[in-house]
Amino acid sequence: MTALKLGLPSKGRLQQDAINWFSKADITVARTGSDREYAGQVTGLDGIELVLLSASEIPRELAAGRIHLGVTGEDLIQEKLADWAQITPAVAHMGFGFADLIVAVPDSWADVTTLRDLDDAAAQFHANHGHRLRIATKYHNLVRGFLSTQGVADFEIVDSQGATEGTIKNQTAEAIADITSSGATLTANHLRILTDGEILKSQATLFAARNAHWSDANRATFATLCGRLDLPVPALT
Amino acid sequence: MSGLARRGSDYRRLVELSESLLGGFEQAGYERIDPPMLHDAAHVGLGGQTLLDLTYLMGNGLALRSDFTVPVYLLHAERGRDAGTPRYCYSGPVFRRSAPGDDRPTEYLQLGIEYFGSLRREAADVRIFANILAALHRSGLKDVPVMTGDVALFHAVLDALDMSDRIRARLRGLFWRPEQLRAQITRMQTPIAVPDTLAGPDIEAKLHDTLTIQGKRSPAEVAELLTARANDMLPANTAQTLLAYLDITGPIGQVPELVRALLGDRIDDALARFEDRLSELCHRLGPEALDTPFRADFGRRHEYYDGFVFEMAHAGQVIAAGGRYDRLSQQVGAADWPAIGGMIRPQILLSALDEVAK
Repeated sequence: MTALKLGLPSKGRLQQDAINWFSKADITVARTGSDREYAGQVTGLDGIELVLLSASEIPRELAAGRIHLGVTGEDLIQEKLADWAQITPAVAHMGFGFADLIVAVPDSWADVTTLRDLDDAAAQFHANHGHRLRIATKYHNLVRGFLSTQGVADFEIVDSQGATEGTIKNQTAEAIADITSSGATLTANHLRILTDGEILKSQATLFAARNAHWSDANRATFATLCGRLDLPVPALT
Repeated sequence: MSGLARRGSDYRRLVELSESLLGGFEQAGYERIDPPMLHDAAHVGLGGQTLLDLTYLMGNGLALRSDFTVPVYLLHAERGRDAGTPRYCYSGPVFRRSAPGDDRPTEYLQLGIEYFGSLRREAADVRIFANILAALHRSGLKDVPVMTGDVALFHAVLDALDMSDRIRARLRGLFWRPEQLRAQITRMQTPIAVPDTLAGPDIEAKLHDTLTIQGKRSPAEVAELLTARANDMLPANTAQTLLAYLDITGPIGQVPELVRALLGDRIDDALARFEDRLSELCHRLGPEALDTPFRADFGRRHEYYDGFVFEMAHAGQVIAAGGRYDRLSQQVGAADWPAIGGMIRPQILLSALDEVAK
């Protein structure tokens, strides 16, 4: 009998918060071996197997159905999966890992406080500099989709997988779209969020994989888990 | 059926339809060519934001073609100036990134014609339009809704009306997004005051004094936009005329009359060309062609277009489309090869034929 596979982030704060969250359901997740070994054990509810994964790979594993349940941010799910609501219904918002995906510009752009202003500045920039206004982000799909529905054009997305706030100073981008929780990093880098520049409010979320093979035993385990947490069981087909 | 038919009877029919369309174009004097699937990514932006967002950039300076216009132009440019009046036809897959949640196919066939040459442009407009329409008719699709527009006419209207060059350039660029264009026309009539902390004679110096400057967009540009929005307004009567122009919709034959009612004799040159095109339409397709629908704000969102544009759609899906792109050759290769092209999507055409047959 195949156990219900639960994908958790392989390290960091997100992992610890997720472990604490499951303890509310009397489910104990313990890392086995050394801290560096990616293995763990679940006790308190039979039939669950732990799979430790990079948070950014959990959406893909959910989509492929290689894990039944997974904990990751809504930002990553929505960025990486086209029909995420069909593929991986959310089971529970977990109340940690809060992050807003926002559009920010240099504070010195006194003429740009809204997306409409950004559109003005982008047209001006394109005409003056011979290339489009570059927006650094790792959330290519979410940002492109948001800006086009909000009527912003004349931009191009440039990839930035980290230290995104620094791209403007380094002149590899003119504006950024990134996740922020307190906004402190933005302020420290003299950046300012546009007043209507919030793309997504995200938090850590438990997702279920419709594409996984759900045996009767897996379903029963899942129902017990939901019951202990007072959660409605989402439809899995 | 917008997906790919790659085997079986659907594939057979697709091949037969494509070959018969291409054969028709070759008979009409178009030379069959095979443009490469990958081209220099530097040219992708010419199609504007919509095409840029849809194009797969391969990350090595190459882009996977999302339409044929630029690849055909580049192939034509290789031949040099002595190519006479070249007409080309082609067929092959194009590739489109789809946004999350978008189930449109990422790969589909396009088949089309391009015509390079500066002689009798209005006649060439009508020739391409008529060739595409005739190809649809020959395939069995008799009744297909058509929409037309004219980007050059919009430019002529902007040139004739009272406004600053800055505003004119901005509105030209906004043509591709009718909603934003209308919103900006309204917005540009009202000044936006410079913030108190920066107001006064030298905004740029105040920006340097009060804020941390970083990045490639300069304080001079920030100051320029602040000053322009506070002082450079779109006159109210201009705005009114522009909005009325953009709302023009009706039979193409009535457009000159409607435009003259708004602008008098101020854009006679552009209208003379428009009327030349109307006589060509009438001559080639008969007087009922003057009933072809026209919309002043219609531009197909392919930003290399700068003249006549057209589109044939069925049940919300574009079956065929095309337009004039005279300036593309100047932007890509500093040449001057005015051109117009049109394309058909055989898979959509096939599903439209199936639906009509039901």
